[in-house]
Amino acid sequence: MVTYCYGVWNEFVNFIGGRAGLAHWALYLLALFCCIFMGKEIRKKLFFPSALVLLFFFNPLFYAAVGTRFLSGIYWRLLWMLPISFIIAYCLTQMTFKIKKNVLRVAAVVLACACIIVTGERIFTTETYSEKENEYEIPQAAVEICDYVKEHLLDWKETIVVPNELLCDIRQYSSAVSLFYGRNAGGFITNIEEDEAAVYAEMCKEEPDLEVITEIGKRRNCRYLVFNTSFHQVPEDMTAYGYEKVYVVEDVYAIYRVIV
Amino acid sequence: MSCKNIIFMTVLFVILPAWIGIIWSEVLKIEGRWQRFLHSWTLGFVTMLSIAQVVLVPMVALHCTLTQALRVWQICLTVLSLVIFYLVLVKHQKLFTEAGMQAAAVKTGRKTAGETGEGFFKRMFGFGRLWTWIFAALVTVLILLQAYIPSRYEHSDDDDARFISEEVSAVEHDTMYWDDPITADQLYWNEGEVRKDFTSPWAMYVAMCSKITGIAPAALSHTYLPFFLILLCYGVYFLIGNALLKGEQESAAPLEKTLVFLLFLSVLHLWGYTSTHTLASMVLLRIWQGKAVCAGFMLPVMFYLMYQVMQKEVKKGWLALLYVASNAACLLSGIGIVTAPVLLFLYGVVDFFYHRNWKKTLAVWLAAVPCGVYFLYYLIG
Repeated sequence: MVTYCYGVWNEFVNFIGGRAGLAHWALYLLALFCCIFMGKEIRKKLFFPSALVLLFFFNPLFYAAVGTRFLSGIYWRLLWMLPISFIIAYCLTQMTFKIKKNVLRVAAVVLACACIIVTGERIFTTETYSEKENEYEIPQAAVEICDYVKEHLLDWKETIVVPNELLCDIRQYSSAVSLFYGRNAGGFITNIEEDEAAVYAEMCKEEPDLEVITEIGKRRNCRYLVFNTSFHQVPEDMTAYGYEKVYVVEDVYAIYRVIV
Repeated sequence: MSCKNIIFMTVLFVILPAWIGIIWSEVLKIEGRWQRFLHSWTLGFVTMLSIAQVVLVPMVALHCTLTQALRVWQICLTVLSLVIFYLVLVKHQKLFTEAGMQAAAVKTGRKTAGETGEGFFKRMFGFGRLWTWIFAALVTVLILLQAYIPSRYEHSDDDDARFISEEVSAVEHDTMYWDDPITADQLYWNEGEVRKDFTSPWAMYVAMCSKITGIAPAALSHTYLPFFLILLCYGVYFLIGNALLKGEQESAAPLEKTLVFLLFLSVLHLWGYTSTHTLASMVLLRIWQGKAVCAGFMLPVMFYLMYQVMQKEVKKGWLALLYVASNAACLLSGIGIVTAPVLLFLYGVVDFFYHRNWKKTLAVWLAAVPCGVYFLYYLIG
C-alpha cells in the first residue's frame, strides 16, 4: 500500500512540476475551497466533481487497480479531468467583481494577474520555441537528407541510420526513408533487437566502431549511413568498410552509401 | 503560411464546423449572435470528430485506404450539410410568411429602441462600457498571440515521431496504419506501436485534412493546426466562462465578466509552464497532438456539456450531445477513452444527489457506452 501511495504522489509531483507548480496548485485548492461558499450551483458544478476526481486520483486502491494496469507512466493525465485553470479564473473573476468601483476593480484584476505571473513559469521562451527552419518545422538537415535519399531510391523505401538528434524528425518529412531504429532505441514503447542496439550504442559514441556499424548495415540492408561530423570522428574515406561518401548536408551531416 | 492554405483551413476548421453546428444551435435554441456562432463552431467540430471516429475505426480494421475513408467521411458531412441547408431554408421560409415578418418586425423594433438615444451612448461610451472595450481588446490580443506564436515559431516534440510519421505514411501510401512509424515494416493495425492508435485515429483525421488541403502533414500539424485549434479551445472557454458566471435567471453572463474570466485564463496559460504536463503546456506547446486536443478542447467541452446537463430542467439536445462528445473523445487519444467515461460517471453521481432523477443519470452514464466499446475493442482486438 505504501508503494502505491508513493506512486500516486510521484505522479502528482510529476504533473504539477514539483516546487515550480506548487503556487498555482495552492491557488487552485484555495479557489476550490472558496467554491464551497459560492452557492449551490457552483458547489454542484465545480466543487463536488473536482473533489470526486481528487478522491479517485489520490486513492491508492484505484491507482493499484487502474493506474498500474492501464495507465502506467501516464496516470497523471487523469488530473486533466480537474478544471484547474477554470476554477481559479472563475473565483478570481467573482472576487474582483465584488468590487463596485471600476478603477479599483481594474486594479484588482491587474494585481491578480501579477500574482499569477510572479508565481508561474512563462511558456513562450527561447527554450520552448525557436525560429523555424522551414514550413515543416523540423530541422532543415532532416529535409535535405530525405530529399537526397528520395532522389536516389532503388526500392519503394530505403533504410538508413542517422545520428540520434535526427531520429524523431526524418519520418515526419518522408515515408520513403525508413529508419533502422528510431526513438524506440531509448527503450521507448517497443524494444529493439540486438543488431539495432549494437548500432545505436556505437552511434552514441564520439568514436564509433565502424566495423560493427558497417557490417550490420550491409547485412541488414541499410543503404545509407549518416554521421554528424561535428560529433562523430569518422574517416573521409570509408571504402574499406564498403561505404562511400556521397553527399554532405549543412557541412555537418555526411551521407555514406553502400558500395554495390 | 500561404493564402490558399489559410482559405482551405478556414473552410475546414471554421466555416464547415460552424455550418454543421447550426443543427445544435437550432435544436438547443441558442440565442444571441455570438453565442450561436460559438456553439455552432465548437459543437460542429465535435460532431465532425465524432463522425470521423464512426467512419475511421471500422475502416482501419477493414484495411481500407485513406481515400476510401475520406470519401465516406465527406459523404457523411455533405449529407449533414444538405440537411442543415434544408432546415435553414425552411426556417427562412417561415420567416417570410406574414406571421413571421410581423414577429421579426417586433423583434427588430425592440432592438432599435434599445439602441437609440441616451441609452445607446451611455452603454457604448459610458465608463463601464469603456472598460469592456479595453478588456475585449486585451483578451483578443492575448488569445491571438497564443494562437500565433505556436504557428509562427518551432517547437519540437518527440511524440511527433509517431503521430506525424503515421500521417505522412497514410498520405503518401494511401494507407491507414499499415506500417511501423519507425522502420516502415508492414504490420497490421493491431500490432506494434500503432496498436495504441487504431481506436483513437486522430492521426488519420489529420491525414484526411492533409489530403483535402494538400498541405504536408508536418506543415499542417506544426504551422496551421495550432492557430485554428487554439482559437477553437478559447471558443469553448468563452462558453464555459459564460455558463459559470451567468446568474440563475440570466440567459448569458455580462460580457465584461466573461472577458475578465478569459483574461485570467490566458494569463494562467501563458504563465502555466510549471511542467510539460499541465493544460497550458498541452494547449500552447503541442495542440496538434490528439491527447492535447483531448485535454485542451474535448474535456472542457465535456465540462461545458455537463454544466448544461446538470441544470434541473435539461433540454434533450444537451444529453444527445454528450453521446456525440464522448464518441469524439475516443478519436483523439486513449486517454479520451478513459477520462470521458470517468467524467460522465462522476458528474452523473453529483447530478443524481442533487436532482434524484434516475432517468437523467442513466442517460448520462449510458453516454459512456461508446468509450466502453472502444476500450474493449482495444483490449481484445
